[in-house]
Amino acid sequence: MKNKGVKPYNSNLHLILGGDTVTWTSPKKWYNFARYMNYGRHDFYSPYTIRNAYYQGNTDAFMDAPLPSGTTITLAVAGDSACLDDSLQTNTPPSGSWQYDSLLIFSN
Amino acid sequence: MIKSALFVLLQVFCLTASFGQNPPWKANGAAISVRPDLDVQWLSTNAFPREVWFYEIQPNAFSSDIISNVIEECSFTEKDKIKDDASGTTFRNAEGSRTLSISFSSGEINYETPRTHYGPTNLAIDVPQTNQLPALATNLLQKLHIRSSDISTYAGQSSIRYLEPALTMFYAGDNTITNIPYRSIYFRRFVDGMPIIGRSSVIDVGEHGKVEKIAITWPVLKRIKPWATVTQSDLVNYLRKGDAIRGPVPSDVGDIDWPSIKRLTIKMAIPSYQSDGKHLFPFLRLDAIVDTGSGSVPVGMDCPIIDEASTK
Repeated sequence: MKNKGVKPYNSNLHLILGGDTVTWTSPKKWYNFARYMNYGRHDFYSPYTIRNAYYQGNTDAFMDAPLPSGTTITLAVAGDSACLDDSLQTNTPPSGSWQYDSLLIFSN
Repeated sequence: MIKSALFVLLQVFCLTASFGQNPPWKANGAAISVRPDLDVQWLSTNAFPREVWFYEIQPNAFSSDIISNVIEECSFTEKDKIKDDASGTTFRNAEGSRTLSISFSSGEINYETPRTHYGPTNLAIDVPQTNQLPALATNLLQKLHIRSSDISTYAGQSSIRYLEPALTMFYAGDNTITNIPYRSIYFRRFVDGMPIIGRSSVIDVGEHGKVEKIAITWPVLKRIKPWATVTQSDLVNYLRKGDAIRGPVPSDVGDIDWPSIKRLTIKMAIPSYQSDGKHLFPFLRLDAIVDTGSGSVPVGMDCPIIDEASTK
């Protein structure tokens, strides 16, 4: 999407979660993602935004994982600029402007 | 005197008794199955230390020099102090947006600032380029009293890296505008030339070279007991006996059916440490290639570097 300059935008689309590099399997990353969106990362209720739950859930999942040397995992969240901070609890209607956001979550 | 000696002996006994039962590396991935016939090719040529240590993790009170340097770097003053006791000290600005926490009990320094919301007409200004980071890193690490030997392999190779972890592209009509909100200095702590696996220490530097984030874990480490490392032949046996774990695989590969793999090639073996919060445990991290019969899959693995059974 980034390389081809494709913007799969329509007026209803909030966010697309994906990768800027090859991603790696992990049951923990989906568990973390769901938990952080619904409850938060700590032992008190403080849900993350969808984007931050995706990034942090993956970061925590791969923190100790044995991955081959030189591995880099960069995730990406593309979407409407107004929706980047959407959460499961609250969301904002799309505004019509599109952006692509990426974050390195693992590098060894 | 006898009581003290007995106490030390008891401590060592308790540590070693618990070590062999549940070394933390076993939680890093999926257990592999027993394959007595597994074809293992060992291509790694790096030499291991003859012995490795168990370490006890102890609090770090940090020197007054380090604390004052960090307070200054994060633009706090004494009036911003909101907590100060035996476990640590915390600073927060009047708006509550920036927090510096120095934990003596866990040996951590954490500084957090809110991430700025940038847009196509509000881009980050004067973020240091990657080639400017080494000079900043040298200065910051000096202030933290972190020596190059603390973040280098036993071969002298530095673990410090300069990265551009975050990027946003804004689409304005036919134009694409790229924003780099900050750049980062990553480094990993090494003990006896061996990396401590887990989250890297990081310092993010944003607009005008201001430090935006510090995340460092640097407890005091006390040597408890040395253990001899095993031979390459022992390591191959561990892999055949299933005394190892394997990590994730690339998502486009699918899973590995370990009982049916054709060959395991070890490209590199890295003696490492891992913390369980109370102790540092030695283990071996492996860069491996699995021949599944239908292709080669890169995979990381962890296995013992000492005879853990003898520590039970």
